[in-house]
Amino acid sequence: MQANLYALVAVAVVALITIGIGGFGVRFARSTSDFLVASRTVNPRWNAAAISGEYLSAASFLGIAGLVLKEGADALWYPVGFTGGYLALLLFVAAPLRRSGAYTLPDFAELRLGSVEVRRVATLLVVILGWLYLVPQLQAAGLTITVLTGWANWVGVFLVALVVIANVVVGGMRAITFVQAFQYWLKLSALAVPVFVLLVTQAGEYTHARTTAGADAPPAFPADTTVQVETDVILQVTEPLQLTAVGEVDNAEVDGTVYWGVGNHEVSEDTTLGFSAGSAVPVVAGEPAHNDGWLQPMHGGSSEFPLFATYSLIIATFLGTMGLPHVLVRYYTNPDGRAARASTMLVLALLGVFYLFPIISGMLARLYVPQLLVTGETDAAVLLLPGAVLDSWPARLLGGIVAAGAFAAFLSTASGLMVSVAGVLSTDVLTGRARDFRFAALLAGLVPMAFALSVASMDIARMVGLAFAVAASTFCPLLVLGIWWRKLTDVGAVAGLLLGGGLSVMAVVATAVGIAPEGWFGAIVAQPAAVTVPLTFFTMVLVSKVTANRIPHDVARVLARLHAPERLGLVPDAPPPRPGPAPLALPPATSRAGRHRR
Amino acid sequence: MSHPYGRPPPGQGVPNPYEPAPHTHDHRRRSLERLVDIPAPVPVPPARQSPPPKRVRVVLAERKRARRVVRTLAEVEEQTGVGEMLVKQLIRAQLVAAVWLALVVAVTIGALPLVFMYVPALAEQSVLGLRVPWLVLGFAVYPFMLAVGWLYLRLTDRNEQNFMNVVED
Repeated sequence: MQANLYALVAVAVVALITIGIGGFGVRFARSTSDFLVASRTVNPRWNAAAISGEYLSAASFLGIAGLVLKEGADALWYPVGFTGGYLALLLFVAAPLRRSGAYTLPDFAELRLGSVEVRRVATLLVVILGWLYLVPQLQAAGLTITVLTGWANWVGVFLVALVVIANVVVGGMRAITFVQAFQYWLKLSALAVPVFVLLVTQAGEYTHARTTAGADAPPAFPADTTVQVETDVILQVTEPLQLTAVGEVDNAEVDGTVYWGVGNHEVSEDTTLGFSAGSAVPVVAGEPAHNDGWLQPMHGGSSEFPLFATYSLIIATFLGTMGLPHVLVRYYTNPDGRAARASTMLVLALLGVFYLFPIISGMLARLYVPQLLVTGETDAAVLLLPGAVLDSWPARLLGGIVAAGAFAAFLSTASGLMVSVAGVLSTDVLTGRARDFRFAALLAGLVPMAFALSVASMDIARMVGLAFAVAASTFCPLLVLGIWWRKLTDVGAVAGLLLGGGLSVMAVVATAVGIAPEGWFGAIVAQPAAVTVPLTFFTMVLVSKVTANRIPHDVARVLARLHAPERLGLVPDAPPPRPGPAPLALPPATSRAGRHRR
Repeated sequence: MSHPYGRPPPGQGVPNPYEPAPHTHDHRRRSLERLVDIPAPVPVPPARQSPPPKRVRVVLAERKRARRVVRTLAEVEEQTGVGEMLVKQLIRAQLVAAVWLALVVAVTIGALPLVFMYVPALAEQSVLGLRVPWLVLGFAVYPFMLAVGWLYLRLTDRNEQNFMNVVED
């Protein structure tokens, strides 16, 4: 594939603007955000757009369309869960967390339970969670660069990790509510404009589309297509098929025309397959091969236990959002608890609008770029769609817009995560001279980069879903019990965090490395939340009951502060004064970093 | 009994015999002043390398209202019978609202996988050319969740207003 010049320029512009604002605009940004918070003019609308802007990662921008293309109706639970997480956050966490005055999860743990040990465990989990979430972001970046330029995957991962690290080191764009809010609208337009253009220009195709997609048949190639197989793959063929192949098929060297009967066929790496227009698309084994299975939820999916997998995913995404480190710091720019609720509700609306477009993109991709089903690398669907439908400059222009959006998606989330991780690393983990924020940022970026390069990439949305499972099995119980249950003790919290975190992280690593077992146990490992979340809640409650003598003596005061409206005066209007310079709008990471830089 | 609005900076001259020693937890310290300099948890953990938070004299921002509600506020803060009961009532009301709405969501959205699994006939229906599961999961659940969120905002606002009415009376 030749390099798309428009797309490269768009990506470079996004990267330069981001770093430029970070590097040259720090002073402007600080004073602006300080001013905004001091005069409390950051209204919920801006805040909600900023929260959404930081939240919508590569998983939302690329991953959901890819999963919809591959799995169909079952994949729709991902955007529902990614949005529903904010409903759970609104119901149980938003206002009390804002009123607690905590910047980060470790801050909250220490404030509520008055224990350094809880803080340490929470810090460790923030770092692990941040890295888990960063790996798929970097892999998505590698994929994007590969699709745009044809360069090797590691080039993209490497380049993009460096851009984000540089961005974080020079100051980051995090501080600015405006920039993050703008990111939301940029991502929304980058998906919505191509979808509208495709829908309008291809309106005549719909009757054709509806009949093909509705039939009990596999998807078909819209045109003659060549597919390069990069890694070994097993394809399921449901209709006899004639194709050309160069390379190794079913453990035999081939060079020329091949006939495939019904059944599974093995294709080895570095094989080129050529399909003619109208022929059926062979689909990676394990995914729905017919459009019927694709349209129908709970049937023909990749899981042996679809009901368990779906419920586990629902639990992970609905309860995991509240435990994501880069989401919570954003709540700090809300003037009070009531505004925190209003922002969260607006986030529900903004995400609902956004997720329409990845879903439509995934459906269109099934018609126009089904060749991705052959390799299984469906995450590229959104990037390839404009080029597959349109010709010449409109295709390249839309491709550029989509690429810019993808890059923005992943820069904003990765920067936010890296700042969160580097912040806790530099304040709570590193000691002495190593406590430099820049060193911490380097560490925060290089570790996930090494993982991203060494672990085979999974579907982005699926990998991110696993990170949600870890968040749901650790911080969700801590926050919910901490906010609503007086009898939580530090020992109970630590026990729950260690057990839930340990089990879920082991499951995620086993899945990512590809050593998951078969059967029921395998289904739990592949989607652990339905087991680990109740287990964590249970452990925290049980251990707290046993260690009831350790209930913090100031629990009544802290809970009064979490729940009473600010008007009462229990909480100072402004964010509480903290040791050291703490610019109001900045998360602690950045503000603490400032102490070292000045 | 007087409620000073601030504390003298530490380590100056002879310790005031009427000022309780820091880091003890007799109930006298739970007076209004402690509310105001809430930020750091009281025992500064030794492991955190940052210097201990500097004590600052803090003045309540809006004195008039603060004085008006000062007694109930003090009760709320000191967790005397009345104050503790009020806060517990508020927390309970908020929790009831949250749990009810969470149950509504769990019963409606949570039932969808079961419905799709065991009533495939429904999942095969089409409305406006789109299959029902796509219409529901791709579109309808979002306004529904928004409606639940809006309802929750109304309920919590009402709870907090009730609480404030009692406290300010």
